[in-house]
Amino acid sequence: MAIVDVRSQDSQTRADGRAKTALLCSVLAFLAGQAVLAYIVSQTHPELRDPEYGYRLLQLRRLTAGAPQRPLCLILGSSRTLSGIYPPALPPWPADAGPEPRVFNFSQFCAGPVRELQTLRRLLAAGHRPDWLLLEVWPPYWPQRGYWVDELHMMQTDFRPVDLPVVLRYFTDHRQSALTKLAAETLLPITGLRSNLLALCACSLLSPDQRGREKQFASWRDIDPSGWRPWLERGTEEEFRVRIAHLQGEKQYLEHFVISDTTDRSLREILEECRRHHIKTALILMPEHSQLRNWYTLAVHEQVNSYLDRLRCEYQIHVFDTRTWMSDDQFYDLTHMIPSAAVPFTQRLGRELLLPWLTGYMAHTNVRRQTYQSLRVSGSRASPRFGLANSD
Amino acid sequence: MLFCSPEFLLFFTMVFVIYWALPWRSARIWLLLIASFYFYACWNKRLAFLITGTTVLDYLLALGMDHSRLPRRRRLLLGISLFANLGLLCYFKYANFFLLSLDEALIAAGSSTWFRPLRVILPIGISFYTFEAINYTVDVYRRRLPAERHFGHFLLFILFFPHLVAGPIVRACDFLPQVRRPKRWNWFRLHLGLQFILMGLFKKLVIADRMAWYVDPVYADPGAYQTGTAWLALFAYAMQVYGDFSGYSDLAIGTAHLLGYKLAQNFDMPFLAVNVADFWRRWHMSLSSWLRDYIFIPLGGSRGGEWKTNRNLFLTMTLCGLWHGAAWSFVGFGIVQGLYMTIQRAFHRRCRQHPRLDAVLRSLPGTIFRIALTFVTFCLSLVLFRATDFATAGHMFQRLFQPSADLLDPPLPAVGFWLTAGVVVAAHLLRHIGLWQRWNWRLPPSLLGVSYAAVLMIALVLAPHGGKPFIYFQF
Repeated sequence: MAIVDVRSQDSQTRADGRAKTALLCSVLAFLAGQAVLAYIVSQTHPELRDPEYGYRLLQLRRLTAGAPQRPLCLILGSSRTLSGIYPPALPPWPADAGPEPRVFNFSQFCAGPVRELQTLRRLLAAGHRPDWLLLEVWPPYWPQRGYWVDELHMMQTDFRPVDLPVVLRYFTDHRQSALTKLAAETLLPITGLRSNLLALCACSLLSPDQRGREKQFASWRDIDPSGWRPWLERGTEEEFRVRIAHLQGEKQYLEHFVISDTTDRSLREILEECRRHHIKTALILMPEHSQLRNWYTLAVHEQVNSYLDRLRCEYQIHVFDTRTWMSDDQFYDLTHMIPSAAVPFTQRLGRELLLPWLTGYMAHTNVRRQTYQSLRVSGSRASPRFGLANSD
Repeated sequence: MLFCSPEFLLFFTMVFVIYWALPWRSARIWLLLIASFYFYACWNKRLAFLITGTTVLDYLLALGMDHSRLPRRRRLLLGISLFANLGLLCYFKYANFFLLSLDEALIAAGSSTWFRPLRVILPIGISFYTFEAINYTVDVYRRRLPAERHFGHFLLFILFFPHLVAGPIVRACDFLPQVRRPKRWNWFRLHLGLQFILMGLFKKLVIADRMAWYVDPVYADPGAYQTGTAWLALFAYAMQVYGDFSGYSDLAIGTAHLLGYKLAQNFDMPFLAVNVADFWRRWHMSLSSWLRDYIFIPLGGSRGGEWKTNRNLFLTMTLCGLWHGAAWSFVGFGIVQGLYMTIQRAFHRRCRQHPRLDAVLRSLPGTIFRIALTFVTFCLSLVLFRATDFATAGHMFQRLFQPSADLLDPPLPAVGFWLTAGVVVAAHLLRHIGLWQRWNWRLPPSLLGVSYAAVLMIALVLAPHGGKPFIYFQF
């Protein structure tokens, strides 16, 4: 009996030891797996987390690695800038103007001021400090209501530890879920990567709601090396009208326009960040269809103008207004230019604004005076004018 | 709070840590009671009090039965317990079903409608804990079990959160002695529990939720899909239900193991069943054995000749169908199972008279044929289980047996289905030939550990976004 007891005790001890080792190894293997994934995602394959951001980051890395001594001009904005500014179309750099900067378009879909701040922070954290920053500002995003709410769109993207201050300071309705997502994606990278891993390795196993991922990867993988991505073709007039009709619901947010606290704080934080890192900054208002411009009331114009002017004075920055530069037939909808419009727009932007600014020939005082002049133009609803570059 | 949700992970981790940190046995029991009450109250606070109330009633009635020597009084007390338990079950789960059915019948007979549906919420898991309570009071009445004196112990038997909402249906004679037994920390048991949890997560996230993508769109509009797609959805649903419920059972068994309790096994490779009786011995075993002990045998079992046995089987399986849900399609599912059983018994008798046929069927190809036939017939009966009504079931059967090729393809590439089916078949076979157990004992523990991590990562990668509720929660 005693022998049986000893044997059973012995086998129990062995089973316990085996169990302990197996459990310990499983925990270690799981943690190691997460750590390896986190390393891969942050160092070699940032596209695994978010193809839109990751592939662009890889391109930016390639661009900077090719000529590390050349300065960098970064363009941040939304899909309007993404499809509107085509850096290779910029005019030739003057030979006597010093080293030619590399211009990279890092604009992203649905990016308002908060997302622009998030992207800038991420890039700075990744060691990409631009010398110039051309930042898109688009008034419909400023009330942060309806469709144009940064928080809403940012919930569709990934979060990383560097985004924590942005989430804490600018998220209201989705703060809790954003923090949960951030924690999960940081501690368990696999949870945030699963759809992307499947999209890359086994797309036939993707869930019905994630089927678009595969196309998303393909579309960002083959993007132009300058970061530019063409928008869609305009199509027939009927298609255009249908498209416009869908946007009518957003008109109310311009009619009852306010500059939200979120917008103000985030724009100021971007400008503070740029000042801290000695980044020369300019704000750009991208071209808009005349119908959209008509949605702005006079009061809205006054608000926008005075706000931009305040920023300009406080932070010593430039404001480029190109809203009236393109004719209506150059638009896919009210805001996005068709692909063929990007080249002439970029050429003009380069010639009239970007090159003078980058070469340092654009005097700040001059800009200020012109802006003030344009502010004093009492525009009708049909032809509102503000800003620097309304040369039409 | 779903078992495979982050909220449950947090809740269970807290309970687990505090539970093993507490040095007192009674404190652990009260902790489990509080945790179980909280777990149920997360769905509905009022219903948590209701279930506690009925448990108190059963506790007192059982004590009364135990003390009493008068058969009439004991019968009365049992009657009260059954009336209370079944009454609540009928009220919450079946009242609207019966009222609406009566209403429809009256309308069909030319009368005007006058019943209004009751506004009741179905308490989650009511079918499970009602059966557990009945099992206890009937066993006390039959003197197979002494009434539990300790109120906390009895309350824990009903409320224990791992099995509270979707089983396995626990027997008092199995569970109550475990409550009394002191619990000691045991690495082996922890390992076992985590194995079950891992298996449950894999079944739920990788098999069930994935198969749902092939099933849901087809059942939503059976007429729109090709015949091949309908068959794919048919088999996918069998795997979905299996993965979902057996996954839940594994999670329940695993979490119970981590707290030092052992729950009954609920599934035993059901898709290897060679006939429908064998199938029900392997599928939802805790319900099958409950139905056998508390319905089939009290009805007379197989003692009264062939006709009576078939009648008892038929009644038992019809009630089994009705237990699953308050709809005629579930009753239909039960009736079909009863018919299968009756036909299978008749065929079995015939085989005994024809030894050569019997031998052919028992050979390897014959066994494979029987397994396939059982699987297909079960899948076909699941059409009634899945369809919300007979009309949808009719459309589905029409699509299954009326070939059509010019309609929609599967909602997702079929490769996902075949891969998942391959995993299910492989897992069944590995377990059947005992390789699973051998690996468990012979593989180096470090390799086992790495394989657990790999399985968990695969499950997390293949898991859908946003948890899907367990199918059996509605029962």
